[in-house]
Amino acid sequence: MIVVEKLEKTYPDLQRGAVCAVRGISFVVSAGQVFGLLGPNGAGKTTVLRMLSTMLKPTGGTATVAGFDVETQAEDVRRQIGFVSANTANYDRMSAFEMVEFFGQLHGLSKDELTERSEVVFAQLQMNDFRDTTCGKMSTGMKQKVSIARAIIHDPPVLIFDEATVGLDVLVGRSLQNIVLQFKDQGKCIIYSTHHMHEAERVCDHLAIMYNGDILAEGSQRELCEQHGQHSLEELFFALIDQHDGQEDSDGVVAEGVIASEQQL
Amino acid sequence: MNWTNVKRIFNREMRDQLRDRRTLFTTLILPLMMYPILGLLMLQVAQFVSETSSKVQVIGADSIAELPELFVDNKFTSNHAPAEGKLLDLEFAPGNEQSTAGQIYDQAKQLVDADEFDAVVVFPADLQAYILALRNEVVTVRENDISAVEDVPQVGGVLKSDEAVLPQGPQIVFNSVDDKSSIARKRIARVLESWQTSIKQTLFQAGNIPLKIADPIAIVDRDTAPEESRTAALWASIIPMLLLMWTLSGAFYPAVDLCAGEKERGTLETLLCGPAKRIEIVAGKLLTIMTFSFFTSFFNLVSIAFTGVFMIGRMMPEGSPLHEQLGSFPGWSILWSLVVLVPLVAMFSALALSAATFARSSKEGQYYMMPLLILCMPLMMISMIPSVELNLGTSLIPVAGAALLLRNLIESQFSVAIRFAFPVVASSMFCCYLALRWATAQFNSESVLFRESEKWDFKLWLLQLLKTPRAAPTAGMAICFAIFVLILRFFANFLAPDATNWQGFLLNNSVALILTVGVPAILAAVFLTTNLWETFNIRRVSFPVLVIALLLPFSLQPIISWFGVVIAEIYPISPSMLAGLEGLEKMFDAAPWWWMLLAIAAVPAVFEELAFRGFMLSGLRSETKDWTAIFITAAFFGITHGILQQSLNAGMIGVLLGYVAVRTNSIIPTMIIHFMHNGLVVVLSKFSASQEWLQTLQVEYAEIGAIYSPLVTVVATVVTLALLFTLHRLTVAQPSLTDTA
Repeated sequence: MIVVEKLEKTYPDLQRGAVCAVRGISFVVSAGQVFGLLGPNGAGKTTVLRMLSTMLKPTGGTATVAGFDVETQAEDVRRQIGFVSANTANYDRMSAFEMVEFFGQLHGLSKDELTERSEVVFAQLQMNDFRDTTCGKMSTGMKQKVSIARAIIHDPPVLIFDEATVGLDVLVGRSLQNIVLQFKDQGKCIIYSTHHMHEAERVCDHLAIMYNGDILAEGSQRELCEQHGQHSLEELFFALIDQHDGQEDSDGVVAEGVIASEQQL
Repeated sequence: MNWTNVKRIFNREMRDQLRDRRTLFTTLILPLMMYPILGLLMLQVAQFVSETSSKVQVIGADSIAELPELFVDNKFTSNHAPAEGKLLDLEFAPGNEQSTAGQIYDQAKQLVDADEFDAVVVFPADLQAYILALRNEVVTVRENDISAVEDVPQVGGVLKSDEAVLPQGPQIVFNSVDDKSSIARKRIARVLESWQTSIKQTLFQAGNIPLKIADPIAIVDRDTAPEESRTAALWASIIPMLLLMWTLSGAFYPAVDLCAGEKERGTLETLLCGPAKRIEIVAGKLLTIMTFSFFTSFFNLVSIAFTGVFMIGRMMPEGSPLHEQLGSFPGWSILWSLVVLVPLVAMFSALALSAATFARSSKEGQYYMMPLLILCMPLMMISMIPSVELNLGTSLIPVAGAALLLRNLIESQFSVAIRFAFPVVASSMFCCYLALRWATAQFNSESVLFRESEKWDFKLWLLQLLKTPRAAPTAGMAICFAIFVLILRFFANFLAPDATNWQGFLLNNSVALILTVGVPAILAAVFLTTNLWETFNIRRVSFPVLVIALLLPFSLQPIISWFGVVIAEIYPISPSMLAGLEGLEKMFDAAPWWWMLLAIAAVPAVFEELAFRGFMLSGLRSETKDWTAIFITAAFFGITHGILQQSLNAGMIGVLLGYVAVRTNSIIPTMIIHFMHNGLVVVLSKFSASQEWLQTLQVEYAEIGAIYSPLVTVVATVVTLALLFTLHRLTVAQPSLTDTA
């Protein structure tokens, strides 16, 4: 469903000159899978997801979503995805229903389709209590539900959650995770970015650990732990980051070592 | 573009804005309440000023006892202009027969300046005697007894001689700068005029002459202006400015909320990841802003009209002092201006949309409002200058043309308005198109949409600018450079010493050009870029291209001279400027031709090409399309020429030079064309008079003098096009280097 190949994003920055936020990463996500992007803040997760949702243009590599290219077929891509992020707020002066209705209409749903879909979505997310409350007056949890409802009203095959649990309390966070798992059972293709290990452990069945614009390791949780000889995701995460930082510090030494060993062979 | 989506976005934005009480307040409630309240306040204040009585001292009232009665009980008598007389409080001071007229005036002046009295009326001591003498003379004339005249007591020698000496009379001492004093003067004058009629009456009676002989003829004004526009001048000049200001601010407040506000609240990203295209989002938002801008000005206009027709009309009936000052309100005809407002609304809305999209937060957006308003203000205020009229020239100036058209509509001068409506609308729509292009570009720019708030640091920025190696300048640098040059040239105009001879003039010009255009370009290139050849666009060109560059200036001459005629027709050169130009020509008569060639052709050709077709064009080309870069460069190249007519001419040549520079990837041909073009002007002005063959190519045209005959011009145009076509065939525009890494 999602195929990312050597995706790259460089942008000019005042402080650091040209910044390479994403350094040629590749991965594939198929339907019915929750693909986790795990990484600290600034790792480049949001940039990857913004490129997948066509808000940013890649400076290198390609990405296709449900067969559509993110650069050349941006509108088609956006019809196939539902995007929920900590940065996608709701309109304060609109009610939950109006919000969902507006995006449904933009997606071209007919009146009947819209009524039918919104009944399903509102019931699934248990939102009927605050259907007509304006978003400005909602709690954080309610707002996040509206965001999800807004993102899935057109029943997209691909869902992208970018740090969607940031700022939510434990209870609401957990219910959101449950919702994501429901979507997985429905056969959606899901990308889920987070910097919480426990969340990743619980929700994702395939993980990519991102750091500094690169994917350090990729695989299922068990595969990853086995490969690197760590017993928990958290240990694995820190070990990988330490290893990466160590490599950066002694880049020259490592390279020389590699050449030396090759020559011996 | 999917119009259904545009409509959906428009509907949502409208609903959102209508739910926002602040928007409703500025769009609807404020205008509806403001003008009635303003009108009431104005009338209150005005009435206060006009209804207070003026304090007046009267000197020498006792000396006119035998003349028709003027005073009763410390007031003017009620049979002389009673309305005004009632509002004059008099205080009497005896006339001192010993003091001279000068002394009395000084005394009165002191009283007025010290604000003890609003005005002082002085009756000269001999006034009564003078009038009585007049009456005697009338009686004598009637009885045909000329000798009796001799018996009349002589007053100041007035009657003795037949020379026309101004009759003496009361003097009103007042201060015209002080409003209260002016009002007092007006009132006193009314009373005294009426009194004068009484005096006339007694004189005429004495001579048994019918009174109507005093005014044997009456001068009758027959005004051709329609009733509505006769006294509406003041209103017609104020209302356009008010309306334009409201149109702009009515666009700006919603724009800030719709763009910067959405960014701030995080809802923009929600919309961007939705299925709507960027262009649909821009269109939806623009339509919303237009709607609010239109209705803001609509409600303002309705409220002004309502206040004007019902309040001002009733409270200042014709003939009242206020009516005289303010003129009558134009009435419902001001609603005509709504038609003109539509293109303006579109233009201001697109402008506000771009500025608001650029802003990171609502607060930043609000900051952009003031500069925008101040930039437009001089253009809006043009309608307040009575001598500026709507014509083809002014109608093409954005905002100003519309303001003048509004003024004509409010004055009910429909025939003029209709004649220039099209150019006004066309120029507004063109500006709207440019603003819209800008807004769309903003919406497609990642750096604008995802800019992080308040992270900009001047020091960091400067360091990065100087330290990051780049072969050629960026578009931002090009624009900053051009603005910097404009500012420098503006100040150079004032700092340069006045030239009295040709040496001084040519030296001034060359030094100013090198310092304000050449040096900045070279410094900018050296400090900001690494590859000077690339930055200045200096490359070798093939021989045929050089030949074309040498031929083009000749074939261009007739075209440019005709272009000059068209410009002079639209924007006539003012007589004072014409006189200045003649002075210059005389100055140049003395200058040797090679000196002029150096200062007028060589220096500009080298330095202006380095700066404009070099630094600026390569900077702009790195980020915009070639033609956009060419037009922007030409616009700045034109503006640096200072005088409007010259700017337009230079702008046109700038487009051609830009095109040649882009096609040949070099400024060497443009330097040649520039040098030859300016040089030809010099050489022709020096030698054309002695060359008869040249005159056969030319015809005389009105005030401009000799220009090329139409036939020559047509041939020249064909040759020019052929040369450009050949150039196009010979060259391939290379994309400019865009490495910013």
